[in-house]
Amino acid sequence: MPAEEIMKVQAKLVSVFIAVMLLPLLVVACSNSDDNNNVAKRDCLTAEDSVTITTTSEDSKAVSGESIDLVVYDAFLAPPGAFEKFTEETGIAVNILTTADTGTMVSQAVLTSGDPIGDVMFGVDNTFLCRALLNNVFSPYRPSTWDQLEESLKLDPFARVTPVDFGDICLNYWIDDTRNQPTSIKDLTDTEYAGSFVTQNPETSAPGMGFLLASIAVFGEDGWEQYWKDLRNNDIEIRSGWTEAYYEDFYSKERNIVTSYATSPIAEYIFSDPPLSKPPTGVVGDSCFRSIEFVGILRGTDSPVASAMLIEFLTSTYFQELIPETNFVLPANKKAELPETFKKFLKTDLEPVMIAPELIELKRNEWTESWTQIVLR
Amino acid sequence: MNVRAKKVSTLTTILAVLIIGTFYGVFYFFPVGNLLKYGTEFTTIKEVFSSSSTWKVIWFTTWQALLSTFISLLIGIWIANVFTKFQFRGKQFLKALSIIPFVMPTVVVATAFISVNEFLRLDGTMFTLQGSTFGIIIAHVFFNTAIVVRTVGSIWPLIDPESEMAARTLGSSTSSTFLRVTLPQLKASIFASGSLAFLFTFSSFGVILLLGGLEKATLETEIWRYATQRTDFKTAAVLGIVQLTIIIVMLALNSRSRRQGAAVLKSGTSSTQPTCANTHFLKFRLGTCVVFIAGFLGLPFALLVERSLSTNNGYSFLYYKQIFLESSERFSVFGTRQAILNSLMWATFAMIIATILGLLAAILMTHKSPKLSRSSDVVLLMPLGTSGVLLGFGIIVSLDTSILDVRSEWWIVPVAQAILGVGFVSRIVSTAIRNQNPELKQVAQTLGAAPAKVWWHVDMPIISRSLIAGSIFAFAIAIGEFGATAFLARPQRPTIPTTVFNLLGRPGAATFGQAMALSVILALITATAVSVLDRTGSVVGNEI
Amino acid sequence: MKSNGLKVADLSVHIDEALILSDISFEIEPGKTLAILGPSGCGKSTLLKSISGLIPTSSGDILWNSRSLLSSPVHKRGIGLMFQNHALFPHKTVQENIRFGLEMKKIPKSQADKAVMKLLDLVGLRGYASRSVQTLSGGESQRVALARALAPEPKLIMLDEPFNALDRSLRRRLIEEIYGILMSLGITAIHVTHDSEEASQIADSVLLMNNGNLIDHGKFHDVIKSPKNAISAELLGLQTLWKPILERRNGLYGINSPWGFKELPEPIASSYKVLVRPEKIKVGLNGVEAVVLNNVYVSGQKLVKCLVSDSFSVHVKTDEEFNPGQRIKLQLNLSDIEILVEHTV
Repeated sequence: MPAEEIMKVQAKLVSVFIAVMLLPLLVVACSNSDDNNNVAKRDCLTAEDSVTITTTSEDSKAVSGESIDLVVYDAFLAPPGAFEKFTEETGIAVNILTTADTGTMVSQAVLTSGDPIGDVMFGVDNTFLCRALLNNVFSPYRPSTWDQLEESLKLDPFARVTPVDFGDICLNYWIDDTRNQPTSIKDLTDTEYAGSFVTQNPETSAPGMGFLLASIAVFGEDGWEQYWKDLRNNDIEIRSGWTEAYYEDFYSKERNIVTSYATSPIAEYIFSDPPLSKPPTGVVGDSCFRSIEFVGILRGTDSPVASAMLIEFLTSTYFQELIPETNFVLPANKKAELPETFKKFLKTDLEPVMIAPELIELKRNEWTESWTQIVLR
Repeated sequence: MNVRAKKVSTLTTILAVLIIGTFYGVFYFFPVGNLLKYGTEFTTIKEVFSSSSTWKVIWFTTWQALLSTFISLLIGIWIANVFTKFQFRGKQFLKALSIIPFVMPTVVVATAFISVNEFLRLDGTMFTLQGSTFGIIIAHVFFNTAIVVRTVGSIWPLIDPESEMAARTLGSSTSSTFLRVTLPQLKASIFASGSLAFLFTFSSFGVILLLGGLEKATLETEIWRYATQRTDFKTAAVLGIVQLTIIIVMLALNSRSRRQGAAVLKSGTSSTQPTCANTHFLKFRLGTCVVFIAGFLGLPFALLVERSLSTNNGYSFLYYKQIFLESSERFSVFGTRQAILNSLMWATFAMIIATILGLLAAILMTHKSPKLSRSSDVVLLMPLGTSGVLLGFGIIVSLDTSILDVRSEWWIVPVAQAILGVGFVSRIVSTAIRNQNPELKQVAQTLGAAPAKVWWHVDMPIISRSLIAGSIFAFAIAIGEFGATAFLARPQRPTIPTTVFNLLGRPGAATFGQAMALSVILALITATAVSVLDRTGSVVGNEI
Repeated sequence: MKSNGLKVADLSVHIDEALILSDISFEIEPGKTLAILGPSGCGKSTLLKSISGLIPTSSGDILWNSRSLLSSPVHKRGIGLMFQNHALFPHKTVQENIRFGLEMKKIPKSQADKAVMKLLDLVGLRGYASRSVQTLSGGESQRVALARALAPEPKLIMLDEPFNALDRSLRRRLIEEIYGILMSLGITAIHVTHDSEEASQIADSVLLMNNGNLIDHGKFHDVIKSPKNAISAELLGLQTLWKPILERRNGLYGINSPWGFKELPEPIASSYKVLVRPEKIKVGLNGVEAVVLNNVYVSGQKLVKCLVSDSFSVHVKTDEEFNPGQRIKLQLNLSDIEILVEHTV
C-alpha cells in the first residue's frame, strides 16, 4: 500500500534530520575536553616557563605581506591612518577584531587560550590582568621600547603583557553648578551631597569597578563597606553603564557628580558645541583609581614575529602620541608628547590609588557580591 | 500523485533536511554544544540549583516573559485589526512606524525611554519606566508589538468577512463574533507571533540590563554575568541548559497547540478589503488606535528626534550635517557614511540567507509527516531562545579548525544574524502555507502544470507575501544587530549600531547629538526598507 | 473493440480505508455531455477528482480513446476541471488566469494573448482582460473559470456544480451559453449537479449516483421513462412518489391504491415506492375523490396538487382552473401506476 511506503520514507527523513543536527553535538560530548580553564592555584605574577619571543631583522623582513588580527574591546577606536602607516612601514596588514566589553574579551581569551581568535590583544586592564595571566593567555615579549615605558605601569615583570596606556577613573562634577562641588571622596556621604551622586555597577562597568576599588583602597578592606552603607543612605543612583550614568543622569543635571575618567573634562572641552574656553567639569583628585591597559601577544598565534612588530609599533612614540585624542587615555611611553589641550587642562596633582592585581583577582567576586548586597538589595 | 512526483517531493525534502541540518549543525548546535558541555559537572549543577537566587531568577524570567508576551499580543491584535479593516491616510507611514522599535539598539531605546520618563514625569511614581519591572514590560511590549502586528496582520485580510457576517445575522454581537469567529481563525498566527515574542522576552538582555535596574536579573543576564564578568563558564553553562530546556518545552507545547488549532482559510475567496471609516463610531475606533500608535510607539521616537535636533544654539540639523559630511577631522574616526553602507550590505546579506533557509525550513515545518514537522518546529526556533553569549562564545571556541576557522571572517556576522532570522521567516511562511486553499493547486494541475510549476505559479505568489513579511524581520534583526553577534569577534567594519555605541561611549555634547541623529537615520532607513519591501510584497502577488 | 471518448470501467476509490466509490462504469462518446446526478455526499466530486487524477484509484480503469490514463499524472491528462468555488488565482488578472493553461503548454505569449481575447469574446467578457479577479461578480468569475478551463483545449471538461451560487435566471442563461459553447467546440463534458432540471437541459445522457454507487445510467429520455428504482426517480425529480401500503390479496402481494389493487412484479423486494406521473391522471366525472390543495408551477407548467382520500397528495397536469378546496374526481389507469423498488443495489 502506498501509505506504508510514505510512512517509512518519512520516518527515515526525520531520523536523518535529527542526526545531521545532533551529530556535532555527540562528537563534542564524546571528545575529551581540552581543559583550558584549569586555574592553577599560583600567584599570577610569578615566573612563567614559556619561551620569550625574540625577533631579528631578517625575521622582520620575512613577515612582510602577512596579515595579523588585533583583538580589541568594543569602545576601542583606532586612530585614523595609524595602522595604515604600520602596514606601509612593515608590509604587515592589521585586521581589527572588535569584541564586546573588556570582561567579555578576557573571557573569550580564556576560553580560547592556546588557540586564540587573533594574534595580539589590546585592552586587558589591571583589574582583569591576573585572570588572563593565570589562564596562560599570553606569550611573553619584551619590546625594544620597554625602558621608555613608565615604571609604575609595568605590573608584569615578565613582559607577558606590555603596558600601552593608562587613565584614571575619578569623580567628575559640573563646575558651574550651584550645588556643592566636592573635593574629596569623603564628601559624598555628607548630607549636603545627598542626591548628587550617580555611579555604576562594578560588575557591569569599568568605571564602576574602578570607583569601588578606589573606595576599598581609600577606606581599607575593613572600612569600605561602611562607606557604601552611608552612601546608600545618602540617596545615590546606580546605573549599569557609563553611558546611562553620564548622558542621562549627569548631563540632565539631575545628578552633578558622576564616576568617569580624569580625561572626561578635556573631552567635554574638545567636543563642546559651541566651543567653550575651558572644560565645564572638574575632577576630584583624592580617589582616582589608576586603570592601566595592556597589550600582549596571544599564546598560540601563527604569526609571533609580526605580532611582536605590532607591539613595537603600539608602544612607539608615533602611536602613543595619537592615543590621547582618540581614546582619551594617557600614553605609557614617557617620551610621547601630550597634545596641547591635555597639557593645558590635565590635572597633574592627582594621587591615584592602586590595588595589586593578584588581590583584585582573589577578592573580586567577594567584593562585588558584598557590594551588591549592601547597595542593591 | 504518481510515483515520480512522489520521488521528486521526497528528494526535495531530503535536500531541505540536509541543507538546513548542516547549516544549523555547524553554526548552532556545534558551537552551543561546545559551551554547554561545561555545565555537565555534577557539583556545579548541585551548587547552582541549591541556591535560592537561581530559582528566583528562573521565576522572574518566566513570568515577565509571559506577561510581556500577553500584553504584546493584546496590543498587536488591536493594531492589526485596525490596519486590516481601515484604509486611511498615513497608513503606510504608521505601518512602517510600528516596526521601527524592533530595530533600534537597546541603548538608544533606553535613552528614549528615560526621556519619556522625564517628559511624562513618571519618575518616582508607580509607573516609572526606569529601574522597574513595569519599565521592562513596557519596553518589551514596545519592541515586540511589531512581531504580532506583522504576523497576524498578514493573515487577517485573508479571513472571509462573510463568516463574520453570518455570525452577526445569527445574533452574535460584535465582540462575541470577534471572540468566536474571527479569533479562532487567527489562532495559528497568534500562536506563531506569541511564541516568537516569548522567545525574545525570555532571553531578553539589553532591556533588562539597561532599564531593569540592577535588582532585576534574568537567566540571560546571569549567564552573561557569569560568563563574561566572572569567567565562570560552568555556572553559565548550567544556567544555559536550564534556559534552553524551558525554551524547548515551551516550543513543544506551542507546536502541539498550533496543530490543533489550524483552520483553513480559503485564500482565493472573498477577502477583507480595508474600507474608509465612515461612521462616528468607526472614526472613534480608528482614531483611538492611531493616537495610541503615535503615542506609544511614536513618542519615544519623537523625543529621540528632538534630542538629535537640539543643539546648544537651539534646533538645527547640525548633527545630521556632521554625520554625512564628515567635515570635521575629529569625527572622521567614526566613519558614519561607511557605517550606513556596511549596515545595509550586511543586513541585506543576512536577510537573503535567512529568507532562502526560512523557505526551506517552512517546507519542513509543513511536511505531511507530523514527526518531521513537529521536530523542525521546535528545533528551528531554538536559536532565538538561546543565550547570545553562549552562541557567540560557542562559535569562537568551536569554529577554529584550519578548514573551519571562520570565527573572524566578516560573513560569520550575517550568518549568525541569519540563524536568528530563519526562525521568523519559517514560522510566518509555514502559517501561510497551512492556510492555503488546496483547490487552487488542483486547478493548476488540471490546467497542465507539473508539480514544480504548480509550486512556482500558485504557491509562491501566495506565500510570497508572508515570505516578504518574514524577510523584513530578518532584515530588521540584522540591521539592529541583536544577540549573538555582540559576542563574536567582529572585523572592524563600522555599522550603525556600533558607531552609535562608539559615539555614546565618550563625553561631549556633539557626540551625543550625533549618536541621536544616527539613530534617527537608522530608524528612517528601516522604515524605508520596510515600505519598499511591503510594496514589493503586494506587487509580487500581481505579477505574471 | 476500440471505442472513442471516455470510458470508466469498474472504478473503485478508497480514501483512508473508507470505500467512497464502488464499481463505477460508464462511457461518454466524444462531443457528448453526461450529467451526473446525485445527492450531497454521494461521491460525485470524488469521481471527478479521480478521473482527473487528483485522487488515486483503488481499482478499475479510466480510458480515453481506448488508452488508459492511469499512468499519466494530473498535469498530463488534458482534462479540465471547473470547481464550485471557481478557484480563480486570486492575485492574477482575468487575462493571466485564462492564459495559465497556455503558458503551461509553452505557447508563445502573443499567440496565447490572441487566444485569450477570443475566449473572452466567447464567454461574453470582452474588455475584462486586465481586471483583477477579486472585483468580479459570481457570474463573471464563473465565466472566467470556464474560459480558463477551455483555453488549453482539453479533451474532456468536467464541471462540479459550478452554478450553485447563482440565481435561477442567471443560472439558466449561463447554462445555455456554456453548453452552446461546448457544443460548438465539440468538447466532451461531464456536468455534476443535484438539480435534475439543469441536468435535463444540457445532458445527452445521465448517470445517477447514491452512496458511492452507480444507480442508473443511460440516455436521459430512457432513464426518465423507465427509472430503475425509486431513488432514480427521486433524483430525477419525478413526481409523484409515495410510499405505498403493502397488502396481500388472494395469495398475491400488491399495493393498495385509491384506484385499486395492483400486483407487485417479481421478484419481491423489501420496500417500494409508487410513481404516478401528473400527465397520466385525468380529471373527470368519475374517479377517486380528491380535494384541490393548491397550484404548483414547475418550469412554468401548472400542476394541481390534490389531496386524495385524506392520506396523500398527487400532482395533476391539467389546463382547467381549480380553486383550493374544490372537490374533483381523478381517474387513473392501474397500468399507469409504476411500482418502483427502493434500492436495487
